[in-house]
Amino acid sequence: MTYAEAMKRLEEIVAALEAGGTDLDETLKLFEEGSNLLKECQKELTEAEGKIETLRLEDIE
Amino acid sequence: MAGEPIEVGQYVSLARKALVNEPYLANAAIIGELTKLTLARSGHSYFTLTDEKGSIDCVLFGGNSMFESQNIQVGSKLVALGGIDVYVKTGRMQFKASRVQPVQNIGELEKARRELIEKWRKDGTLDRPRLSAPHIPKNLYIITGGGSAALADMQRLIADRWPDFSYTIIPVLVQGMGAPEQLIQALKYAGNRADLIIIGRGGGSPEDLWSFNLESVCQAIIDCPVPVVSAVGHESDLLVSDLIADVRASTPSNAVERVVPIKSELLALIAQVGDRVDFAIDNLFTKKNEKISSMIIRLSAAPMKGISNAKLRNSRLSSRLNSAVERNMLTKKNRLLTIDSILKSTNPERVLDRGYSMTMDTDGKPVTSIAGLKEGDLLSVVLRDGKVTTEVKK
Repeated sequence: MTYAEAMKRLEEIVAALEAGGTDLDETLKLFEEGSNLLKECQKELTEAEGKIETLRLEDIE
Repeated sequence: MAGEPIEVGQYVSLARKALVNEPYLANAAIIGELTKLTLARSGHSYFTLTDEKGSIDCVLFGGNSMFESQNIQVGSKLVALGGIDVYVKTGRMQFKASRVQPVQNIGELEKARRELIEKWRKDGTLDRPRLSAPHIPKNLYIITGGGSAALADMQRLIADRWPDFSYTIIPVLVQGMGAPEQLIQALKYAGNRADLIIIGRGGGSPEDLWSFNLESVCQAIIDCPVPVVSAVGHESDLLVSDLIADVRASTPSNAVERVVPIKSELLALIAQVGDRVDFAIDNLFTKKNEKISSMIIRLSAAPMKGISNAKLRNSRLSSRLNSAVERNMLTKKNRLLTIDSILKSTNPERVLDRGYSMTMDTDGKPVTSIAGLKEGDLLSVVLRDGKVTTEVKK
């Protein structure tokens, strides 16, 4: 799942939870899924971090 | 007076020395029309460059192949790189070239550009579906002039938006001889590794930007399997690469603004969603708890056939019902607590931080209802930063 997809799904989950009306099991499932997605999103952020590399054209043939 | 006469050879040597030691003359690029060309058997090329105001004989040692491969003929406009020299034996001044390059005039270039756009409009290339840039590029490649102001601008802006953001730079020539080949080579390399490519350069004259109007360079952008952002020149420059790239940025800085998110904004967004999840859950559980409690009260208070309220309250049925509900809630609550501990790592603002507290009995079981509590019972209350023990007064 990409970051954009995860954020979209999170929006859906939050909307469902905020609307209420889900039963207890469903609520817990949504909560669990939401928590995992949030972790995924944060992980995605750290994956974009690291170093700046400069290549030499001679070396990339 | 001019003093004692000196020998001609010595004089010409002195003149040569003065000329070749003049940096401005020793290292120059001159432009003119090729009016005479001899490709000697030795492989050396002898030629003359001329314009309205002057003319000079030139030599390019071993230059025949350079003339032939570029199809340079008399009448072409040429740029020659090199420096001045004097052939002492004849006293003739000549330009010793190291490289020659034909110059197309901007009129011809513009015509080629229009034809290219027209061709790609007709065959649908301009309307082809574009790739979209990833929300967070994890393998951004930047192809631009090494040490250029454009690169420095982009680097500064990326560092502002997302310190520690990782990316790869491929420095290339962006104008002049060799630039198209280097741009294409870099694009092909990055195309197999990146998840997003920014290719571009800062502003310059139309001729300087011309690589980005070339069919070969633009075709390499079209063929690239990953999304390419074209970021060339200033806002007002519209190049063919801008028309065919997946994303058009008006300047190199604009390219960064379009594809590198601001990290703090993303973090805030994630925290906000986390808070909303938390808050919604709190809300739901409070409601469910209230509903169950009120059901028990209503059940206990309801006049039931054959059983008095007092009897019901004391009956085993009531306690069974109570403990069943309690057990059920306990399991759910425990599960929620486990999940909540998962969320701790993702959501900085925790439930307890917002002023909620958790109450447990002396066995460490969560107390969720006043049912079963008596005066004098000890309870421990968990707050954000610790636990206190309290006594039930009434």
